[in-house]
Amino acid sequence: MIHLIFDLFALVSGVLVSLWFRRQYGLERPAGVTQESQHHYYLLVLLFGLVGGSMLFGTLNLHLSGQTGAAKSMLGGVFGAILVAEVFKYFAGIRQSTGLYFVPGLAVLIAVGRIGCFLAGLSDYTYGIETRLPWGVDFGDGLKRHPVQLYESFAMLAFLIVLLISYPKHAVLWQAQGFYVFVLVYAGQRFVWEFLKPYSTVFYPFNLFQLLCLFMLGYAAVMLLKMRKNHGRLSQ
Amino acid sequence: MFENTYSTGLSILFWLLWVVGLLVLLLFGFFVLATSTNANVLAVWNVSVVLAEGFLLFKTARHFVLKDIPMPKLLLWVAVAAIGVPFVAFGGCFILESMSYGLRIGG
Repeated sequence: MIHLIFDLFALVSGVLVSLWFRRQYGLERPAGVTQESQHHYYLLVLLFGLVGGSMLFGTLNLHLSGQTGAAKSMLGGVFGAILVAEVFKYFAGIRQSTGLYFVPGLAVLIAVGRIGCFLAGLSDYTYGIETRLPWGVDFGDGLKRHPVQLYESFAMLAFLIVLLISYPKHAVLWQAQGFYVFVLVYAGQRFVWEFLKPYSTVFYPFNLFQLLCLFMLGYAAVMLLKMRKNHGRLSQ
Repeated sequence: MFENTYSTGLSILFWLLWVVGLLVLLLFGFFVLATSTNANVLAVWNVSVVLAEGFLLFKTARHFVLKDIPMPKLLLWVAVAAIGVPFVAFGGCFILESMSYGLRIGG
């Protein structure tokens, strides 16, 4: 039940921070999305990508780890949303980064949502492996475990603070590259925390989420290099 | 008032999503019945989901009949009702665990 409440709290706080950020810096729509109908179709496909990716990869990871049932995954959701966004942008002829529009909301959503995962304990299947470190947490099975949910929460919170402090001075840079930097940070930190989780490996020593993280890191790196190349060409 | 035109294909898609939303509403309606006697907090959650679904389905159907908002916006809202609300409503990362709240407590 506590997870339900934190999910709602995460959603509300994510939407509020997102609205504040857009109003504060005059971001009416994602960059490059010019028409209102295009904006709505874009949000529609992102919703499908987010929910589809989240359910697909969340459930797949559960079954690979020998559990039954269905699950959600934020990482799977972000991966799915990126995939459909790039396809949409290709067909809509949008060549610039559109994602910064969603970044503050996403960072808050993950930071708050992960506290819900932490408080839900063992039933959520998002806990870490056993540790002897002093901050290990006993979720009720007598073992001290890595609170990986909080590691992720703090990492996203730190990213959000950097974004909010740095954005006013480097707005153009963040607009062009902010989403890819977010993907680098999100996938990077998640890749590390996954070593501290009890999920089965798919391709030794990586689990399903780490493979997704590697794809996302590659995507972000390629996009950032592409941006830099284009920037260099324009300044010549 | 300006009247929008809706294509047949998108209208079918709209009503398909609307029916999915209705099924979600009925499922959570069942959860309300299952949790109302012995799990009040969960019952409040389930009632909130039913109200949110009901509001979205009513508004989208009304706008569709009146044709007073463009189809992309209408599709976005009905998709929120069909997949966005249930996605949040089931809560947690382990969905079956959340689903069984209604079923198990009811049983």
